Amino acid sequence: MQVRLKLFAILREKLGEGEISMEMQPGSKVEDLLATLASRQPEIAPLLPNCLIAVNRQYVPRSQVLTAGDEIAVIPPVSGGK
Amino acid sequence: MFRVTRDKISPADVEAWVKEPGAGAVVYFDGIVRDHSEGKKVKFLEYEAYEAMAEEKLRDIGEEIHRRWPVSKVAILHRVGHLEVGESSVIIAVSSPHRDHAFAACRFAIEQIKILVPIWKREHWEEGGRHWVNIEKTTPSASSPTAEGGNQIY
Repeated sequence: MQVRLKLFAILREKLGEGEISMEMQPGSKVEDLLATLASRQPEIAPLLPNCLIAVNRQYVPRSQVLTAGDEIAVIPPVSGGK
Repeated sequence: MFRVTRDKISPADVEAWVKEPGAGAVVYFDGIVRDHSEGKKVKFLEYEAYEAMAEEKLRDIGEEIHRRWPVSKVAILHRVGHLEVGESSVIIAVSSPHRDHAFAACRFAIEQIKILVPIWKREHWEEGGRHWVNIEKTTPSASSPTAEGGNQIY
């Protein structure tokens, strides 16, 4: 099944694009997607453990099962400030 | 009123909208681009957003405020793109019958924005160089972000 992946800020820059499609096995979880992404794009792998994941614009745990057509966003730590 | 925009923002943009006859108080927060950060002079900032989700999260924060406090209206504007020193990056306005609730809700809103809303900030320095705030650090953070009350988001 195909899922769409959106990447932002430093991730977008390191990849050179903000949106990619990935082919995953049905029943795959967010953690499987992140493992695939890390092996395919080693330049962003060290950043992934600190990212939150949103599926269809809602934060989800890494155990979330993906569905075909999901819009998955990899969200680096947000802007913060005091 | 919840909006992520590339246009300049100011408290005047929301003033008429949040005011209403039953509200005796309006509290504003105006977040402004500062000229320094951790010892460096800031030239300008660049904000990037996952805009569709960011607006939804601003709306979620507004709904949570209405659940917690008897406020009248909540407006949150967040600017993205290129921002100069002195310009507003975020405007929050909360109206309520009495001031205590408006103060508490306004404070809650800005703290939640900094945790939940997918907007990233890159500083460009006067001396040259730039970095994504909270992402590119000299010492990486071991902790993952937490929501209000210390609960893990995920």
